[in-house]
Amino acid sequence: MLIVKNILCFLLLAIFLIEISFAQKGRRHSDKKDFDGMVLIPAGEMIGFEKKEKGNALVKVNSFLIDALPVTNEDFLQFAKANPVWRKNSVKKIFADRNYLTHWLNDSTFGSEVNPQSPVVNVSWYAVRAYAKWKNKRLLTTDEWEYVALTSQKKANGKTDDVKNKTIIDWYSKSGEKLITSVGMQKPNYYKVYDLHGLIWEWVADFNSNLVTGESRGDKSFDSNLFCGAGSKSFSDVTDYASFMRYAFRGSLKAEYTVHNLGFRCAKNLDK
Amino acid sequence: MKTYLKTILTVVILFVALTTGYFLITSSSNEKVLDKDEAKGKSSCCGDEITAHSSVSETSIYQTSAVWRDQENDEFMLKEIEGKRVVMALFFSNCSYACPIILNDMQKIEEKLSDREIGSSKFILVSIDPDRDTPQRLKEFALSKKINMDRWKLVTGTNDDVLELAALLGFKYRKEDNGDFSHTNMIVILDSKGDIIHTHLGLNKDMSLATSVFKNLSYNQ
Repeated sequence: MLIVKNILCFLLLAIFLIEISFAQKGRRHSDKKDFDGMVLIPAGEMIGFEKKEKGNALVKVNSFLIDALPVTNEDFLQFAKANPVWRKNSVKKIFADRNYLTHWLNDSTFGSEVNPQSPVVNVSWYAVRAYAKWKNKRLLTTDEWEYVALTSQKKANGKTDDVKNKTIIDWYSKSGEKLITSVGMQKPNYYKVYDLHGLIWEWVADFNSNLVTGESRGDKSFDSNLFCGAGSKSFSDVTDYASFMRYAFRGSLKAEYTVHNLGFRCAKNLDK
Repeated sequence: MKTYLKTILTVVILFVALTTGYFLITSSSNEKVLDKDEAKGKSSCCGDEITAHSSVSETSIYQTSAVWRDQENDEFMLKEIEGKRVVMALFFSNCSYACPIILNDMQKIEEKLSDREIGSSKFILVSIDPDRDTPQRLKEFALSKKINMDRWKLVTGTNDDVLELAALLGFKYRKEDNGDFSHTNMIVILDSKGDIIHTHLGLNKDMSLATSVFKNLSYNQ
């Protein structure tokens, strides 16, 4: 009887110690990533989505900081309050179309129908760019976005992760749902970045760098009269349907467009 | 009695162990990256910058605050040419194929203007290659192409300002691995207030529509 109790006490002590070590591990982990809501993305390279003349091009990405979460309605309201020219009703026509912040009630509040913690949408490229500057940040480049989005939950390169790819395609196929989900509710990816897929599409700085005119994946109809380019454009992996959809979507955007499921997050260069 | 005490002790240890462990785990996981940065106390950096110039319309591209450098290394803002009719294009001077044709197409409009019309007209070339196109390089380019710098301006700026102007004009471009650019072949005609009146796409195409649109624009002398 006494032996059993001793064993019990020993087990409890062991559990206790294991819990402590786990907790400390977690704490060290978060210390390392304490960048004011941003996450460090290490430098690396990936196979570019577009084929170059010499075959698949390797795209290099420098290390940078990325917002762990998309910018929310609440975040954007603070920006609009501090910068009157970006308020719902005073934005200049050239910088945003008429649907700018259409889901908000008025200039000073988004109203009770809108979840403060869901990603802000219906924002133009000019507006999100101004927001990033106001925060002393910048928008991500297409390459940076795709590089971070390449990850699955477990792996840095999730390109061959069928579950991840299926999830993304499933989400792309059902657009138009009213956006009420808060940011940060889905599982983060390998770098602890949340909501790259599944909630919104995101603006990037160089959304207008996609010069492909056609719509099919095997597009060879790069129009050399309209565009001056080094070579014809085609894609490295035609099975990467999700990437293709993002490229096509970005290519269709104009800077003043606002879309009901298009939001953004910011990036920042590392202090050297 | 002894076993009774031991049981109590075990329960207490169990309780302490579990609660402490739970506390340690939750407190550490709460610290994860979810704490969002507060926007408090920051001055408004980009609002007033873009406030409209009083006399330009809401759709004028002259609402930007970008400061460029021209071929004389003088500062230049787009709203300085307000009142003039403008032919504008984005280009880079190292471009061997399309940009010389774009320049030539712009000059085709220039050739069709009378002396009186020329006085109210401006021709602006904006470089998308700020790294290589210094004001000095632009001046050399202008001289080599026999560009009349009384009415032409070749300007360069920051990559960020180029990106914004490209967005305003609907111009797509991208830097390729060899340092050159892929880009839209495009000439834009602006009225005296900086509104985009006509966009001419392509190379070596008939310039008569663009020319007549340009000639018919009103202007301030």
